[in-house]
Amino acid sequence: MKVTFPHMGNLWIALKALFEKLGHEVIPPPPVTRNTIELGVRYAPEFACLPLKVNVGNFIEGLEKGAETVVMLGGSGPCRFGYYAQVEREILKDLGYSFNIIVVDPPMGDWQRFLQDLQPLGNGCGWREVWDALTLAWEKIKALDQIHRTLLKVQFYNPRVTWKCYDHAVKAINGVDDKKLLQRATSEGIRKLALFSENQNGTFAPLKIVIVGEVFMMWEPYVNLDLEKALGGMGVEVIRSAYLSDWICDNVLFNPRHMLRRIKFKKAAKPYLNCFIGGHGWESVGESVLYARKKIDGIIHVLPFTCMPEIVAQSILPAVSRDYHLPVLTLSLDEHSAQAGFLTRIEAFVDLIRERKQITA
Amino acid sequence: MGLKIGIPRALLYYDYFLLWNTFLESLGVEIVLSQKTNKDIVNNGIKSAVEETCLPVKVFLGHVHNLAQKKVDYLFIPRYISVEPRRFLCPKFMGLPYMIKHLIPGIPPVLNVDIDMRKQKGELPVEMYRLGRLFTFNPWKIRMAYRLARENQKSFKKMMLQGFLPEEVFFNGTEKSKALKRTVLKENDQDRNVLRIGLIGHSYNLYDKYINMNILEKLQEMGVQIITSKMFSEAEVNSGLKKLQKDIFWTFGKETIGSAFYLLEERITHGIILLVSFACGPDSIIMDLIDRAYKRAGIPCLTLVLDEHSAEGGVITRLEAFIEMLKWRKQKNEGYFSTHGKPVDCPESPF
Ligand code: SF4
Ligand code: SF4
Repeated sequence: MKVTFPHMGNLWIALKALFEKLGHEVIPPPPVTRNTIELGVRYAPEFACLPLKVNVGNFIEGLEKGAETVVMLGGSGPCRFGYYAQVEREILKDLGYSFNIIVVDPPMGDWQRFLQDLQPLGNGCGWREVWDALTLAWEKIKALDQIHRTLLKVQFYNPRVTWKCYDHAVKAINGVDDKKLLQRATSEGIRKLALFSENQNGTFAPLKIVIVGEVFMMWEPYVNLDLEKALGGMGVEVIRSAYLSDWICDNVLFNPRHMLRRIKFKKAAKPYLNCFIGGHGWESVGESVLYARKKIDGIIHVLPFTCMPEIVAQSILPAVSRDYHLPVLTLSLDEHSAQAGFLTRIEAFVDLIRERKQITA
Repeated sequence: MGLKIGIPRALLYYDYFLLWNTFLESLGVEIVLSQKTNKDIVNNGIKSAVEETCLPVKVFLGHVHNLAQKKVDYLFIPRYISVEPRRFLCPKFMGLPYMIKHLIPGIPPVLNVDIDMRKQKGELPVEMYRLGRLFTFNPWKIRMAYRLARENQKSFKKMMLQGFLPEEVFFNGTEKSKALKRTVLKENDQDRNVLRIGLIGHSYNLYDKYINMNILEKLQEMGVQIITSKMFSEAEVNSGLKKLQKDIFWTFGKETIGSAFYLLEERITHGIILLVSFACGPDSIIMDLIDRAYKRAGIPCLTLVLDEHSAEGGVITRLEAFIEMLKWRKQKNEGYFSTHGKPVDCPESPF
């Protein structure tokens, strides 16, 4: 099968490894560009949230490159994401593509259906091969997140060079297809990036800004207009409140350490929002509170325009900001968001917290 | 004197007011409603809300403002998570009480009630019992109040199927209420001259005259017969849903897409109008699926997006143009209804 899938940050590297191990030909969609978004905007419902539009753009570009099968994640609500694949299928059908779509819907107790859905992806491989493919993909996800975490700790020293190092490491990770080599590539990348902080004598204390919000917007640099890089350029240390590997530990693997963290954020969120509201809304509020208690200087909340759970979070975050005396900037982004106005807003925000810090220092 | 509890006349008020009213009044509570939606209410709501919130939630906030001035002891804003197994309402309903508390400072305390019927066991929902205990210690009284409320709600649902308007039923009782008369729609072959339209949307968009710019009356003035998505029985909705590959996990989504697909299958109407709130998450997806299906079948479908900026004049013009087009089409295809149940070859709709 010639497989394609949607983009989200570096996820494609792991998916590519996974499907190649299973013996498929992988045709990753070209990186997200203006063209992707324009395609999505043209064919997706006008008021859909941005991730859906980007997905549609990815699929069209992937199918144009020769893919025949689209793999997409499903869900069980209450947010739109769970129904994305259904609309996407209809859109592509109406456009006249002949393709096959495999939707990975959570089993919800019905494991038989779940396995049946996934069977074509298994490609007749034995359990052992499937296991190897899955673990390799998982290791890659973890490795990419580790590299990214390291990058964010050093990028403000020298954005240009650190990002170059980072890109290099990512490429190396993409190139290996064996766990041992992967480990080597990862530690090599981390070592090189860590050098940047060792060369400093520790006098420079950057501002610390935490990014919370909807996950796609946090993880896909094209749609958040390279927020992290922009902040790095302003001498800010960025902390991403969640990574893909965290999400998987939380929602798929139920990793005990992450479950503890979840209990903590739920407790922190309690006075503000005491329930699941779909998407990442609860996390946005809870993590904001948890970070607000630490030594950070500001929070940036990113969401796609009209995102339901994040609008709830956005309505509540001003209260967190008030209670903890912490500036919060909400960035609601859509296909029309332009780099220029965006940068001015971030600069103004960074200036504000810098001044605040000088006054309180 | 009993406690005074305020209920905002917005959102699920149009679905569950009778239930709560009966239940709470049987327990000796006095219910205070906010005014009908008006300009002030909407403006107050807009001022308090985050800009990109959907209009119905903004309107809801306005109603809360309105109630806050009425000296009530409590506000009744349940957190609706789910009203049936396997389905949710919308993320915003789930966070609504919290949004209210943080967006509108200084309001009366909100009664915390979580409605989650996904795992309902036993006759009396635990949450309703908990709520009842606030007003009486007599469990029997609570049970009776609940039974009465449930009965009333059941007959309310039946009346909705027949085309009665919710507010008429709430305040005028069965006899005097005005209705859209669904029965006529079924006998479609007898009344060939009448144009029939499906009006698909959430209850608060269908029945709040201010939000929908009085579309029901306007259509009636144009001589159109209307069937709303609230006028379909469970069975009809479910038969419409069969066309979907994946079960839908929103209750409103189920109603709208189920009824729209049912209409499409049965060919009862000449066209449909989709009432959508601007920035409504579920609708952005559901209504698109409906629109696609109608386009493929060649049946006209008009989407009206409601937001605080929609100008009444513009909406009327679009409605009129749509109705004109339907009339013209109807004349052209008089044989349309005789091919009951089969797709008709029609040119692609210009809308
Ligand atoms: S979380 Fe937000 S962006 Fe994601 S599907 Fe839901 S509404 Fe869309
Ligand atoms: S269903 Fe739509 S209109 Fe209703 S509250 Fe949710 S987003 Fe708003």
